[in-house]
Amino acid sequence: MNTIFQKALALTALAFAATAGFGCEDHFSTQEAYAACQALSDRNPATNPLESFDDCVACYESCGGDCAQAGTSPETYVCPDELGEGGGSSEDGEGGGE
Amino acid sequence: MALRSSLTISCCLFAALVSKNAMAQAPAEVPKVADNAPEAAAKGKTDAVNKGDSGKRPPGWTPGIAFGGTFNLVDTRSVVGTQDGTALMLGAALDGALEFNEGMHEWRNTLKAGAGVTRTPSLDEFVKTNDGLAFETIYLLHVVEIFGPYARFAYNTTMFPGLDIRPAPVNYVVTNLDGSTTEYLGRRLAMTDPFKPSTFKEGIGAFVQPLNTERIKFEARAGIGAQESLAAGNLALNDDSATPQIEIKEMDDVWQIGGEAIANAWGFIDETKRVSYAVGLGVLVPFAASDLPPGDDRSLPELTNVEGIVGLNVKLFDWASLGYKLTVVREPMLVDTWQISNNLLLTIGAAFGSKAPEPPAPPPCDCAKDAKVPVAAEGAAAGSAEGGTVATPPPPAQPSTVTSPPSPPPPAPPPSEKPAAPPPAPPPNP
Repeated sequence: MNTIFQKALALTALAFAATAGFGCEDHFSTQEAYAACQALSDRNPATNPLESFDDCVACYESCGGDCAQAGTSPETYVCPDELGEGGGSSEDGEGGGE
Repeated sequence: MALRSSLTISCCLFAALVSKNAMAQAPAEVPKVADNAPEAAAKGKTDAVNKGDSGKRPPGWTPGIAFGGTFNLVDTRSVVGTQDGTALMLGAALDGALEFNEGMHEWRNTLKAGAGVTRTPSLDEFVKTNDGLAFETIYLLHVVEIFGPYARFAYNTTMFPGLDIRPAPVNYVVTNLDGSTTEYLGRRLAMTDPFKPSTFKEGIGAFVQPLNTERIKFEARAGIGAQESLAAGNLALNDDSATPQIEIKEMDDVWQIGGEAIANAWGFIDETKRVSYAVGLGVLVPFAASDLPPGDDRSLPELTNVEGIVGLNVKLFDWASLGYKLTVVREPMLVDTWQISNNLLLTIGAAFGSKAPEPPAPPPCDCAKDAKVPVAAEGAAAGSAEGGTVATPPPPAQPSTVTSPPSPPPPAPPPSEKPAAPPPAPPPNP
C-alpha cells in the first residue's frame, strides 16, 4: 500500500512538474518584448524604426529569444521556423533581448 | 491523401486518498479500517467518513490526502468541420487535511494546490487555466461541545506566473498606482508573478456548531478578522467592455481589519454517501484599511470582502468521482469585480487506508457453511487489506480447506454498504 501511495505521489509530482514545464514555453511577455525591441531600436534606430516596432513585439511574443532579425531595411523580424532552416540571420548577432 | 485521425484520450490520472493513520503513524504499518473504526467496518463506511452516528469528533490525529490529475489529448487532421491541430489539457491537484481532536480542543489544517494548462490549435501555446495554493489552520476550543472561541490563519496564493494571453494583439491600457497609464500593443501581457498576490487572513472570535450529523454539519463563526494581500507591482484585469481597449489595473499591497462572519455547511446527500456537498459563505466588513489610491473614494463598507463556495462530489464508481466547485470571490481592494471560477473535475484513482473502499461485508452468518470457505475465498473476503487484519470478522479458523467443498465467494455488499464518497472537507474560510 505504501508503494502504491508513493507511486501516486510521484505521479502527482510529475503532473505538477509537467504542468509547470508546459506552461514555461519560450515566449516573451508583452512587457519583455517591449523591452527587447526598445533596446534594438535604441541601439540601431536606422534599421529598427518605430514602424516595425509592433512586428518586433509580435515576433518576440511568439518565439521569445529565438526571434531573429531578417537583415532587411527597415528591419523585419522572423521566428526560426519562418526562416526554414532555423536560426536567424541577425546581422548584429542579436538573438533577442535576453 | 487525406489523413484523418482523431485521437482522444481523456483520463484523469491517479487520485489517492490516504487515511489518517497512513500518515500519522508512518512508518508503521497502515492500520486498517477496523483498527480505528470497527463501527465503520461493520457498517461499510470508511473511518474518515464515519465519525460515529453521534457526530462526535474522532480523538487524535486525522490526516488525509487526495491526489488528482487530468489529462486530455485531442489531435485532428483533415477532419471536416474541425480545426487541424492538437489540443492538450494537463492538470494536477492536491488536497490534504490534518485534524486533531482531544477533549475540548479541535485543530484543523488544510492544504490545497491545483494547477492546469491547456493548449489548443487556435492558440498554439500553453495557457494556464488553473493555479492555486491555499493553506488554512484553525483552532477551536469547545467550551461546550457546540460553542467556543476560535483562532485561525489562512494563506492563499498562486504558484505560477500569470499572463493575459490572447490570439491576436490588443491594446492594453495599464493604470499605474500613481494614476498614470501605460499602453501596450500585444497579446501576452504579464500580469502576476509567482506567489503573487499572496493573501494572509487571520481571525479570532466565537464559533457555533449547532448541527453535526452526517447529512449536514454546520459551523458558523463570527469575530475580528484581518487580511493582508501582497500584490505590489502586479496587474489585474479591470476591463470595461464598453471600450475597445483592455483596461488593466496595477495592484498594491493592501490590508484590512474588520468584523468577519463565516458560515459553512457540509455533509452527504444520500445515505450511501456517494454524493457529498460543501457550501460556505464568508464576509469581512472592514473598519480599518490601508490607504486607497488617489481618486478612489470608496467607503469602508464598499470594501467588504466576500467569498462563497459551492462544492459537489459524486462517487461514480469505487475508482472514479466527479467533482464540481464554484467559487465566487470579491476582494475590492485588489480588484473591484466578482471573481468567479467553475471547476469540474473527473478523477480516476485509487484509495488507501481508511478512505479506501471498505472491505466486502461479512458473508451471511451461515456459519456451518462459512466455516468451509477455502483459503482463496478467505483472501477475497479480506479485500485488499494487507496482513490479513481486515475489517470483516474472520471466518472460523480452519485447519485446512482441502477436504472442504468449495464455497461460493462472499456475496457482494448490499447497496447500503457501498464504498463511501470522500468526505466533504469543510469549505475554505473566506
